[in-house]
Amino acid sequence: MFKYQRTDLPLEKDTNGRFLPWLIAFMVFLTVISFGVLLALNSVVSRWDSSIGNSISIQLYSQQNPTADNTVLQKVLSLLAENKDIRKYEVISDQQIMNLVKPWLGEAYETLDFPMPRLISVELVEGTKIDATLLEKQISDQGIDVSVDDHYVWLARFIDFVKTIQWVVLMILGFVLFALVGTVVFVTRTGLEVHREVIEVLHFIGAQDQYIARQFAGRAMVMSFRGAILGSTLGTLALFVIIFFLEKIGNNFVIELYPQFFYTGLLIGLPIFVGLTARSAAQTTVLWLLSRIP
Amino acid sequence: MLGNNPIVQFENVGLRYGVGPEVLKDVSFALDAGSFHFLVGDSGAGKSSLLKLIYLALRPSRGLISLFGNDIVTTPRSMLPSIRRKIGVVFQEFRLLEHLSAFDNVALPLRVSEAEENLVQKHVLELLEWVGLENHIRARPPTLSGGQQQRLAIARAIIARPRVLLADEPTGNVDDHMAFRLMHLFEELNRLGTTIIIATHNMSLVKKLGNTFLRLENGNLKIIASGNKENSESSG
Ligand SMILES: Nc1ncnc2c1ncn2[C@@H]1O[C@H](COP(=O)(O)OP(=O)(O)OP(=O)(O)O)[C@@H](O)[C@H]1O
Ligand SMILES: [Mg+2]
Repeated sequence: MFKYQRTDLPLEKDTNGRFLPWLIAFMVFLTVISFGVLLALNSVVSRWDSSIGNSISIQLYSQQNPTADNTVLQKVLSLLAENKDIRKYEVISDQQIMNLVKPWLGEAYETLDFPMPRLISVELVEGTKIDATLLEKQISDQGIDVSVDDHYVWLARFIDFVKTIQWVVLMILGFVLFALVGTVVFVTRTGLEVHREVIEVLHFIGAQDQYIARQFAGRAMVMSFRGAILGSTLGTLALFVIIFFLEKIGNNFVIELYPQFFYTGLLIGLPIFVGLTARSAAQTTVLWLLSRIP
Repeated sequence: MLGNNPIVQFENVGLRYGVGPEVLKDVSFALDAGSFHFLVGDSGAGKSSLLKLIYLALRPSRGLISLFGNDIVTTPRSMLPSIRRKIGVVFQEFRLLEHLSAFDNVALPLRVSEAEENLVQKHVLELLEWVGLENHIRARPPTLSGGQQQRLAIARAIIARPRVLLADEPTGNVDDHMAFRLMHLFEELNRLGTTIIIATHNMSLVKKLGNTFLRLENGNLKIIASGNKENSESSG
């Protein structure tokens, strides 16, 4: 795929296709970044969905007094125990809270000094829903400073947002594919026009359309493949840089979103896919245009 | 040889370019396999046009053309390459590929028909030697003289051993000595069974070789036997 084969058409001297590898490099770069975003969002959503889909959380604000805090906690827990829609509840330890918050605040969290609220994670009986505002009122009626979160509102909003982004990314990928094929078709058509004389001679000598198409297709493949290698290498490097900086500010969950095969796929699979797509686009274009010659 | 089956046959063929006047009118003739013909006529008489009809560069405006027994109107496009491979052409303006070496130009018909590369090497080198271009194997056509280009064009036309050889003014750019050498080359090919049609202005050559010839005049074709005994085959 790297080397041009010997061709009867002076395709290597064509100026009209010089921009092709660069354009393809740019498009593939865009694709790699888009893929990265798409995959990251997918895994974030599925994580959150499974961890907080069927749960609500209760936050008790600290009174700056451990004994008072504990009394309040026991009161709330007994209220929860009475509720038949609740399958399970659990007080989240400080360490767990730290782990939850750390990805968002990073190492900076350690240096923060403010009273942590008490968190109670509540799991509902399968298929039930609890009105968070009602529960909140029930608890605060006991004179307790509380906030009840059923996650659904903001999770739903977040998922909607992610879905929108996913559509945008898919549209970018669709556009890239469309632009790739369109560019190859355009370059091939111009090439046929430029080399009309030579193609005519080849026909008179007895060349089949396939023979001519093969040369255009081979060239389109080599140029696209080279461009795609450049684009996917730069794109993957860019992803690494992004991950590196996210890690540096403490987002240690990002790295595991990209398994090893993902990079291999980008670095090798994508250029091969692009090369083969360009080849068949050029091939089809030549065969179609030549078939219209009487 | 194919006996009575003509290898090239024209019946009432007319040709016009666009909306212009008819360049060829009611041209009818049949060439037997293994025959040798000159095609003569003044400049602009339509010699090149007639040859273009045979090598399928042009379609007739009317009439019937059959090559090797195939009616070319009903022959599907996918069959044309196999017919064209049986026809070698020396174009009047050579039409050598300028970006390819002499060697690659001559090799083209073999490569187009997917011949094995070691056979290509052998045959092409032999033929280049035969036409006296063994010292210009790597040369590109624009660096060759007119006569050298002409010999290169001839070599390309005959490398794949076509059954029919069409040569459009193949002696136009060479001196008389080379012209006769080339004519002997054509005669030798003819002896090996190739049907040959040579379009030329050079009447002295025609007279010397004394073959029957085809004369184009006002778009009509006359077949003239050697010794100038005219017998009109078609008139308009
Ligand atoms: N592509 C074309 N478009 C329009 N008219 C053409 C075209 N090619 C040839 N003609 C016309 O057809 C006539 C025959 O041309 P042709 O080239 O066949 O003559 P010729 O006998 O080969 O001449 P010469 O001996 O000069 O090569 C001429 O009047 C020419 O002007
Ligand atoms: Mg002519």
